[in-house]
Amino acid sequence: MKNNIFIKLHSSLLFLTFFLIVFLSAITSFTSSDQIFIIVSSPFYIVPWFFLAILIISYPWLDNVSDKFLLSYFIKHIPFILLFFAVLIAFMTNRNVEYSLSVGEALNLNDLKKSLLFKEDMNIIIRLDDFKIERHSKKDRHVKSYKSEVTVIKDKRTNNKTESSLIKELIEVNNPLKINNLKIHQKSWSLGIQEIRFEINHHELEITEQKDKIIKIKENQFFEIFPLDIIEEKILYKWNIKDKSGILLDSGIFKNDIDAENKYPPKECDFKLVKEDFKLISIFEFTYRRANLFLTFAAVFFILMMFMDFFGFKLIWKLFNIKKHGFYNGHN
Amino acid sequence: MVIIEQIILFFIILFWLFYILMLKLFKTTLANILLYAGFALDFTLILIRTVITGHAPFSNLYESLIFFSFIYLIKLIFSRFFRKQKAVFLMLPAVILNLTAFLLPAGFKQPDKLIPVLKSFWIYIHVPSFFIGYVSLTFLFIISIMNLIKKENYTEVLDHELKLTCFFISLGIITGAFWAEISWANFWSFDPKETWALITWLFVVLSFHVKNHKIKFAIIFFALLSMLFTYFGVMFILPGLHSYL
Repeated sequence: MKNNIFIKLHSSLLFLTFFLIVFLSAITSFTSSDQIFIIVSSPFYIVPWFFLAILIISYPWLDNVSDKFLLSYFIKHIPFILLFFAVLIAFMTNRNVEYSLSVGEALNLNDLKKSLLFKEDMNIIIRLDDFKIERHSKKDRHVKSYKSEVTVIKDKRTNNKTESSLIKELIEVNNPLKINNLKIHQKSWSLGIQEIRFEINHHELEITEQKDKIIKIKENQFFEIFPLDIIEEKILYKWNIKDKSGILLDSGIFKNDIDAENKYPPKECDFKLVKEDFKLISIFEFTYRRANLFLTFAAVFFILMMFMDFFGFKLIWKLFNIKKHGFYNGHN
Repeated sequence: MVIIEQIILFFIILFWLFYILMLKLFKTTLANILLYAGFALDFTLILIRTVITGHAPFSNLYESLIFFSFIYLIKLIFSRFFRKQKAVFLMLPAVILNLTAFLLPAGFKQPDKLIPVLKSFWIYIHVPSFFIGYVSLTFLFIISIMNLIKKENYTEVLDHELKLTCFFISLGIITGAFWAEISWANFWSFDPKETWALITWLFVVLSFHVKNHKIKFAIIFFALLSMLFTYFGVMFILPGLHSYL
């Protein structure tokens, strides 16, 4: 009788915990990315998961279960508990930091010690030699790939001499560079504008100063220009001519290159590109993972045990013609 | 090429609607011919898309809808309900999926090159795992309705479909996490698509712990709603890392 009350209470708590986790997870999907981390790292989100783990572990002690059921129960639930703790440890110990490098710049990995919280001495220098953006074609400006060519400079001490080894590596999306427990991922890229000067109606203006500003070229005609993209290592500019109410009168795109598809601003604007000084910036994400091996093991174990419990054992019994009344039959 | 695809899609929908009609009229031979003809056209459509784009045919909403209906049809053909009257109900999702693909605006149907982040072998494991899971969930939902309304005992089938759904959604989530670690430098970012896939998984897992058929059906219904929100809702309402329209 007493057991029945506890089992009913256990079931109710299980359902409540599930719905609470569902509700909290749903809320995170409607919040901004800054608030998501606050919600998921708060006790309001973590405690229900812990409680779920406790409910799972405690169930066999609440009910008078047979050995067969106990084995079946643990095969189903222990991998999940293991995965839960692996995820928790990974969440607490994994570190990420974003870092940008322009072509020619270098970074000593030891400079990331504070951000990534690693103790080992990584006196390794990463130098960005080149950054390339590949488009599908001249007409199709969609990005096909973007990659960073880096040199990894490591100092080696041999017979009281320090020698530097230089290794050329390629970092691109889905192909991070791994150095010990540190990974360098190609996250994104940006245009680093130093100075872009242009002349319009005999006035010389600097593009970054003109950001969000529209230049009056005629009565009821306003001109604006901004960098749009990078094509074949040249900036692609977009210009617009609008009237007072913002209605578009004319527009075009061009790059500082001989290209038949260039559409320059009208002659009456007296437009001229005076100076272009920019560089491409490769944005990397550096990650330091201490618990990856445990997490990988827990995830693979979870999927494998699920497969065995749902389908694997049945297949083995059928193959070897084992009767259903064996030690484990996967059922309550 | 998109016009040719639309014509093929139109005939697929037509064949399958006539298949349902023929089944209702007990003309099973003609019904099966129409089903297989539609299936062959669906396969042709997927092949055309693969050849035009040069990549797996599930990188945007339009392609994924056609792929979803194709996987669903394979499941139906190999199920015990095939060649039976009950296939009428089970056929409806395939028709709805293709109809949705047909009615999408033209801009959604243009073949696109694969963006850099999707260029990985993981796309051939992560995405199909989810599709198989979603197909099993759709199948599970319809059989649950049949179980409730017709009061026929499909407990064994429901149990099997539930296990398939749970396994493949779990596989999809885990492979997605490992792929995300390589491409986005994070196993889990609480991206809306990831979160709603987790919610779907939670509902599926919860349904294992329910014995009452009506409550079980309700939870499976919530799982299906979560799945639909993961698939459509997130794409249109909650943009994030998975926004590939």
